[in-house]
Amino acid sequence: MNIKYRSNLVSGAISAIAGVIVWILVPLHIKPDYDLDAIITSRTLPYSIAALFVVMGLGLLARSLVFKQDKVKILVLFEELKVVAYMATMLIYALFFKYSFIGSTTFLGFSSLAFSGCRKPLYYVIVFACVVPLYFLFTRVMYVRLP
Amino acid sequence: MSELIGPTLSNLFIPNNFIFMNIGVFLGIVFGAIPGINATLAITVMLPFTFMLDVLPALFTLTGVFFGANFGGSISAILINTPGTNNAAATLLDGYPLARKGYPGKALDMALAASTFGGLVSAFSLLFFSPQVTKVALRFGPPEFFALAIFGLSIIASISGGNILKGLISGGLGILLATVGVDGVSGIPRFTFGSLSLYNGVKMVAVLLGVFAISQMINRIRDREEGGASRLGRTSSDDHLTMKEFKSTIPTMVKSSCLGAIIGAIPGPGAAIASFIAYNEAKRCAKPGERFGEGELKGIAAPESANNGATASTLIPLLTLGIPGDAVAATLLGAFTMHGLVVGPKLFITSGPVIYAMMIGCVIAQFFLFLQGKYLLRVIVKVTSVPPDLLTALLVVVCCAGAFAVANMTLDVYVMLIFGCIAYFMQKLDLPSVPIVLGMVLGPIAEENLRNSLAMSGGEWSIFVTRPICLAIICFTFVLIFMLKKGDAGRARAEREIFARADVKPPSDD
Repeated sequence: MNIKYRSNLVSGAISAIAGVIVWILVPLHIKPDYDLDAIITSRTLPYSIAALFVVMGLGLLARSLVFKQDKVKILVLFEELKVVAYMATMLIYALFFKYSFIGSTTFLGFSSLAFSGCRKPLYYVIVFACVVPLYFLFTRVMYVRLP
Repeated sequence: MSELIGPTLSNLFIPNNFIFMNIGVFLGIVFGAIPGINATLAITVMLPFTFMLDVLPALFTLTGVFFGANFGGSISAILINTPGTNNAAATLLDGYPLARKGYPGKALDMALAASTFGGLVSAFSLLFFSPQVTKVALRFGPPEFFALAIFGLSIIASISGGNILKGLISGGLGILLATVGVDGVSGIPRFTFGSLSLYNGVKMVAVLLGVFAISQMINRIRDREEGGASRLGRTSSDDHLTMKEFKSTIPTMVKSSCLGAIIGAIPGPGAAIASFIAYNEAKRCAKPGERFGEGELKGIAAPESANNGATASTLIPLLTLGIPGDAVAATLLGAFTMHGLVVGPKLFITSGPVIYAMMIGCVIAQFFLFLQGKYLLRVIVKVTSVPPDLLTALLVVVCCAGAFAVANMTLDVYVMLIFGCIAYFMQKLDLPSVPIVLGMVLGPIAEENLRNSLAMSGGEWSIFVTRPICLAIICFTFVLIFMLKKGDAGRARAEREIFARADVKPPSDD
């Protein structure tokens, strides 16, 4: 199954919404400056970026809807589902990373091979054989405290 | 200046430096020769491994990767008609036809000679022009640095792939990311969401790994590639570049290298544009009997010397002004920062011996590039036949360890994965990812200097137009935007014409 979408329209809408969200988040997450006379405060730049997102988003929407300048793109659902499943694997990896580097990273390496459709056991062995020395390289040579 | 010679040479002539320079060049050639892995990705993946090294070996490794990858791209362009990097796209137009005629060795020899030549011109221009630019830049104050940051951000106009609105959105995202953490001027935390880990901000290396490495790995998982292994089979005894042939291409190499060095020093255009312009120029000046597109040696010499001519010279604006001209320079900026070097005009004062040693090292690296290309080519071609599935899995593993190594924090691994996914979806919407990095680097410089400038002037905005250097930079920014847009249109037209004539599908800009 394929999904058609218009690049400018979708990115314009996302940008405008993101701008509004950032605008709302600014006062919630950035306290007002102590120096009340300052022309540029800690909030000025984030507000400007929020405004930029909204303006650029509206510009893209206008390009798509008013000036009819847009590119129709096709999303092959099967392929994207594979990507989403791979991203879910990354999420699992992220959750387990703090418990064991070797275990979680081997899992991600094997998943990457499996998602590529690899059926050669040797490649899985090579990936595992690389994770272990990599762990020792980082922990013993580079003194990185990998979990 | 003379007092720097001793410390520079003692910093430079240490065996470790040359060992890591060679490792970097070797890995760069290997990465560059693998289609889909460009210099930015190669440097990003290598970056975490340099944390344990001293400054110079680390910088030599990364610059070695950069130089090597530029030449490496031509190997697959010549042998399998697929450029390993975008910079080598113009090389295949004559490189592949020459290889098909039974002279792959000659084509590779030409590419190597031209790459070395271009690299040398570029490295010497870095060595001689950087100190001059620095002398001017030392007079800059906050208003000039603000104008410079805006000048740097104007590069977004050129790297937005024809849609500046989308480029600005990506750039804005980068600037917004850079605001996370404690505000350097007021000390107020911004977007930390109550997490202490975010007080120091989002690490650029983690974002780089996500944007340039993880998103590419996701793409490779989706579009499963069949093994595009390069082959360098047995060929005839006359399959090598003769001295006569080399001499005949010297004028082309000189012209193209200079062109590449100039284009490389201008933030924005990059090596791919340099190679196309040089190819077009060589073709325009062709003598009767020179058949471009059918295996003409000058058709290989021009783009290769131009794209390598644009390598070291991209470091001129980075080292002297702190402005990264492209994604590779932005990635290298990450390396400088990780090793405690603050790029900008004061770099030559605070770390003079290190920087001069690095620049001389860039010259020496070109000789190692030549030697490795000459004597290790068969080994390199063999290494590049690593199956894509395995390569993807291995790179993912390396990136994960690398992201954690940035600051021993799991948060950086999360940031890398999140930005890998975001960059993937951004590609789906044709939102360019390089502006994110530019925004992250230049946003804080612009904000801090704008605030300092207004504090200096008592809130008067006219400070930006009353200081001559500042006004000149602002004017130059407008000129650059106009020229880049004009140049982009011209390049796109030339690229279309060239590829249509050669009946080859142009590579994507991703």
